[in-house]
Amino acid sequence: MRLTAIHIDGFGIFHDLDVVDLSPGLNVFLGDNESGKTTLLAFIRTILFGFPPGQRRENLYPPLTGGRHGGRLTLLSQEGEGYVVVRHHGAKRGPVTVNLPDGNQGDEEVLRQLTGAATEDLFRSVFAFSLTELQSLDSLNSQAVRAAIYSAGAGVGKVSLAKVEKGLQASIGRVFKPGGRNPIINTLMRELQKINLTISQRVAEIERYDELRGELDQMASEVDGTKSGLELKRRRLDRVKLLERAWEDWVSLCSSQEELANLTKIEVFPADGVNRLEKLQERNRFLNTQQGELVYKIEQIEKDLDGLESRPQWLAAGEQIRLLERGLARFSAASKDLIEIRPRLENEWRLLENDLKGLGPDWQLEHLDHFDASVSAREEILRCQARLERTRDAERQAERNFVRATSGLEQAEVREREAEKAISQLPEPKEKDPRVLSERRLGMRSLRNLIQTGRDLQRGLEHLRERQEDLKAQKDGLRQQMEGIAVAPLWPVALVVLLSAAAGLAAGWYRDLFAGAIAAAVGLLLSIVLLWFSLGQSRRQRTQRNLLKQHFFEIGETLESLSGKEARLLAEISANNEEIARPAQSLGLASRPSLQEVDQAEAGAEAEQEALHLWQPARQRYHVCREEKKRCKRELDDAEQSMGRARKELEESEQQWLTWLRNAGLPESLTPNGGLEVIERIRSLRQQAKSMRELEERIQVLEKLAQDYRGEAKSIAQQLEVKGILMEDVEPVIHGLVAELERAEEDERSRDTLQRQLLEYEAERKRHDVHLQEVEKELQDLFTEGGASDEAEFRQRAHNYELRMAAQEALQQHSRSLENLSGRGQDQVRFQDELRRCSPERLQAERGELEQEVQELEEKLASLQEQFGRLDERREQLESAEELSALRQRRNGLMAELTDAAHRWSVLTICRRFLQEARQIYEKERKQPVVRESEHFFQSITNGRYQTIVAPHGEENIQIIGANGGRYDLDILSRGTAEQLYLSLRFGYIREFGRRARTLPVVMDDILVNFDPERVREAIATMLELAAKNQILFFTCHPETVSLFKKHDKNIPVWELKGGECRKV
Amino acid sequence: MKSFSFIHTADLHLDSPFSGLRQVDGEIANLLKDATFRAFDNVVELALKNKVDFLLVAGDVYDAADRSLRAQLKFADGLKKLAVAGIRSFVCHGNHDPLDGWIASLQWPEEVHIFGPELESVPVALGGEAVVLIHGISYPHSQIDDSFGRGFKRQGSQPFQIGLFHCSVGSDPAHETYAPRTLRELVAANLDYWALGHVHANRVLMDRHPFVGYPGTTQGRHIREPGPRGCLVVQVDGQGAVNARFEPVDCVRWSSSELPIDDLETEGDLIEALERTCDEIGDEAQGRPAIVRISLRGRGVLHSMLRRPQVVEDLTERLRETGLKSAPPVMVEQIQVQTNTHIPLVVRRKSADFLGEVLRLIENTRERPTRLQEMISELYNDRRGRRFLETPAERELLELLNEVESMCVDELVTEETE
Repeated sequence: MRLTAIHIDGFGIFHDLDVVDLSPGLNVFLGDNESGKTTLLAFIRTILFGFPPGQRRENLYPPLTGGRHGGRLTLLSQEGEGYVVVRHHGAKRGPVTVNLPDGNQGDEEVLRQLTGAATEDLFRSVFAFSLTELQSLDSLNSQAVRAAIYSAGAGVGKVSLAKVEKGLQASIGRVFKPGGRNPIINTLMRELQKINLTISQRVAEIERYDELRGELDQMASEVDGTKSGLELKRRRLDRVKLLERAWEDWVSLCSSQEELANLTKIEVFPADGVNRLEKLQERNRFLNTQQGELVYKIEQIEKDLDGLESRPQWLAAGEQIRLLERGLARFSAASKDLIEIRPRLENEWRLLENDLKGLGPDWQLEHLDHFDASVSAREEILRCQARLERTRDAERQAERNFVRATSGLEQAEVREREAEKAISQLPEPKEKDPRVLSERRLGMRSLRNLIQTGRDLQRGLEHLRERQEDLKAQKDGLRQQMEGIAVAPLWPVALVVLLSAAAGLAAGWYRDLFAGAIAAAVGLLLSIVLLWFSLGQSRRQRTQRNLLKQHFFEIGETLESLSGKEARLLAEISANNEEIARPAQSLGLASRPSLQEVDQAEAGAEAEQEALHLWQPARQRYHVCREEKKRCKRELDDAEQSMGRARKELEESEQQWLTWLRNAGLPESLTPNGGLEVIERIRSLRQQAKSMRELEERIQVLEKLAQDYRGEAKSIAQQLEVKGILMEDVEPVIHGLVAELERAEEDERSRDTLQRQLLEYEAERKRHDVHLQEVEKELQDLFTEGGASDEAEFRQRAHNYELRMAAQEALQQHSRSLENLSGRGQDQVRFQDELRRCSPERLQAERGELEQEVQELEEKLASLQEQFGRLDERREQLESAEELSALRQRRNGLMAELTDAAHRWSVLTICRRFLQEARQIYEKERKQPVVRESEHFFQSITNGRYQTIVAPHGEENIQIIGANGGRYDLDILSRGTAEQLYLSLRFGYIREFGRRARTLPVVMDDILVNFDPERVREAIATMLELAAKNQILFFTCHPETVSLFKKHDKNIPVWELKGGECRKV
Repeated sequence: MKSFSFIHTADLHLDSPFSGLRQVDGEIANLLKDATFRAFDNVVELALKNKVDFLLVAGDVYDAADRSLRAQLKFADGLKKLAVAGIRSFVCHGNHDPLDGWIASLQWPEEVHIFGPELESVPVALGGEAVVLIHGISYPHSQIDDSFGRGFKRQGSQPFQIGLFHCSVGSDPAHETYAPRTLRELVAANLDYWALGHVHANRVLMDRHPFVGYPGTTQGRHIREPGPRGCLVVQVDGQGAVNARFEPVDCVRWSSSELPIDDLETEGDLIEALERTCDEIGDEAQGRPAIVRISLRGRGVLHSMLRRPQVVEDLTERLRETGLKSAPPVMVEQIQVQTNTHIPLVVRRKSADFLGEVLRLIENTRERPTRLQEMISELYNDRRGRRFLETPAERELLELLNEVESMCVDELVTEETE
């Protein structure tokens, strides 16, 4: 497939651009920077594969100079059929239509077939690329290209062998690594080793089972022996401890028995006698002390009561004094207010009087009260004011209108006079309709044209006749020439032939045959020459005669056509004459007027037209002025009437205002605004007067209040006989009364309290007397009960009784204790005998010894039991040990896992090994077609310096081998060489794609800049080789590159891109 | 002659662990730990229930190498229980529990007779009548020569004579050969019943004159011991005719099952089929817990899915979870993937592409699989690897190669290209 034409409707800087007749091979496009090379490349790509989708954020090249966004490509398929691909910007990357060779229309599917199902990605990276893309191997990252370079033909499709191997390696490493720690097998083996160690330890323990049983039996008998020995010792120790515990009781028992025998016998005595005695004595003392204190207190209270004074009249007046005290504050405030208000009121009165005088000389306070200052009065003033203003304005306006109308009338009269004068100075035209004059002039103009046409026709006729004459003369000349040309005859030739034949026969007959033959031959030759000459002569003459004849007939035909023309001209002339006669008559001219006559008539008409032009506006103006004057007069009359009406109305309104002022009692000079002010002023003065009257009332109230208060105070003072009170200064008097009242009240309260206390103390003194008597009786009863006559005897008996009771108690207690320790009966007897025989010291010594022995035996037993327990526990553990079972089960589980893992590792390892081996073989024996093609191009471009390209199988890597056999990785190649390699790889792929699918056009954008001159030449040669199959569009901005292309082949078409246009150079 | 009955058991292998089980814990671990004991308990219960006259144990009671005291004590407990019920026990030791192996000094009741290293004959009187004479011998050590145990022959007047012996009869690739005997030799001894041990499968070599049989092991312990395991309950009538009935006593049952994937289309189908298989195995186990290995075979769309990493592990995990919850529980020991790709390997081997090259290399290696040993020597010759792993034999290497081939195809051919 190749491009034959490009049409851009609108795309970037291009608008309505046509590039036609693209060469099937190499096309070079020269253009400066920004001349649109990249845009053109993008355009081709866009039409073939659609507009880039929005999410790619690529330049859409919107039309900058107008036109619809998009265009078309005209393509020629490999089969030689023409297609037109049209695409404009729109939904789904821009809808496309493909005009098919049979006139139908196709869609994307047809386009896909045309492009050999190449993807946009592939086209972009391999078929249409710039220097930037060329410089990187990564740009060859299209899936299809990668597959083609690295795996095509390997039968592994999309699978990356390198990835597979890498994955296998990783899996192997995860399963097992010699010397590793974390891989599965390493972990399992470590764990197994650990578990084996534990198992062998447990097994060793189990092997000791029989030995353990023996040890256990021996230890059991030892424990039994120790236990019985310990039991004996413990028993004796308990007996010794018991004797020790009983020793104290035993000793006390003995001493109690002795004491009882020595004491006097008192059988009965009051229980707790001494204590009771002391308590009664103590109570007696306490009651006597209390009684003394009460007597003293009663005396004191009686003394205080005598010292207090009673004032009943003060207490009775207490309520009134309190009332006075509460009213004192009001009284003081009233007095103060009176002092303040009185002078202020006087001053206010003075000011008000002055203000009233300001309203009018005879204005009094009563006027204020009677004046109507209501809202309606105010509204009345405002109405009067508005009417006055309105009528005044109307009067002024009417005056102004009257003056204006007067002056308008005067001006209109002047203008009318001027217009009249102007029209009287102009002549009056004969024809006053301008259309008639204009028609007349048009008629004259067409008449002149007709006369002119008639003249031209006449001249044509004359010219025709002259030509007819010439042609007739030429015809006669030709006839004479034709008659003059005669055709050369053939008879001399025949004669010569006859003569030569006769001469030949004669010579043969007479002399010899040879001479005859020669003569005949000479004759024949001569006759042939003659015949050839005669034939040539006659042919020339015939040709000349034919030519003349043809010319003669042509002239004849021309003459005939001329006579036709002549007849037509004559007819036209007569028609013209008739056309002239009609308008000439209507214009009042001769039936065949001359041009001068027409001109004169036209000049007359023109002058008449001009005069009419001047007269018509003047008359128009006069009419206008006259109408204007009439209108002004009417306006003046109207204005005069209006003015009269306005003045009357003004007078009425002024009269109304004066009436109002008079009624209100205000001066007539007052304006309505003044009236409004007066109302405001009166309102304020009324308010002032009102507040002053209120003040007067208040003074009266205050004065009464002060007077009443004083009267009250005075009456109370007199009642209580208080001396020296001056009623002018009431306040200290009140304070004095209050103080005295409080003192009287305080005295009264103290008296009440003392009397209550006195009553209470008296009652208490009586109660104490009764208690004292009771105590005395109890004491006497106690002595009688204790068998004593007085306190000393009672105390002596009490002491004796107490000693006896204590001895008896001790005896019983010790006896019980001993019985508790020994038991009753014989045991008690034996126990007491044993006590009689021993001593505390001996018991203590024996106990120490026994305790020591018991402790030793206990320790021994504990140790033995512990040992036995341990061993027995061990035995039990061994017998019931499930741990070993679990460990062995675990070991088997680990072994199973290990076997699995080893199996997996083996499979992975062997798999990887086979892949590696196969790869080596494959790489050695096969080479991918793309690489093979690329190799050829690379050899050509580098002029044989590099021989081989190696794409290691299954790896996405490329190496090259030089002529010297050296193997190089890409990263050590120079930039230029690397670019040449990438270019070769693209060419290789393009060639292979063409063979496999379709030959697509190749677009390259200035990719030779990093090539040295020699390699540029070689690269161009290589491109030309590629161009034998694939169309190439090569963009450059370097004129010298173009020259290099031209050097290779001067017929390479070069296109120049400039200012949004493209033209073939 | 008085009729009587006895139980013939052998190869108890008490307390010996299960093999091939990975990641077992919880309840199932407890179950497995006690499985051999519970199987023996079932034998004891069977003897008590059937009120048999005596019990014969034909060797390999436990694995002496394991030093399991627990095994010996439990065995003694069982026999004591029988002794209490008046049932006598006759025990001979085999290659796994020879007399020189570690044996704890236990107190045996009088009703228990353990044969010594020399052939001896013990009469058994039933109801005061001398009816049975039992000839037996225990392995003195595990390394006995082929002549060991020769000399069994009828003697005395007892009408029914039994030979109790742990030996190999004929050849059996599944078991090491110990004291090899031919059936003819056994018949020539002129005994009535040969109570044999050593072969783990229940096998009757002759059903009369004499009866020669192995009861098999009482509890399967790995996938190579699938199906019911138990003992023989033998009835001998007044004429000396033997009626031996196999009674399963195992408490956990091993099973292996194959599941073709040809008709399965989705992962859901596969899970359903696997669960169905587990259910069927659970039913077959007759109320016992079961351990199952399922081999996926055939060609199908699921092949490539199964080859993806972690898929089988996840499936196993899932089945275990559901299986352990069912009653009785079914535990999946392993899911083996032995499925194949759709790709016609015969054709691909001939193709000139990379895959063809790989397949040809693999094919060539089949002729000398030992080459593979060199490839995997890094692991099998490793210091620790040598201790725990045995280098695969030729047969295993060939199996390995099949898997390698399958993996190569899976790795190199994507589904699209298929």
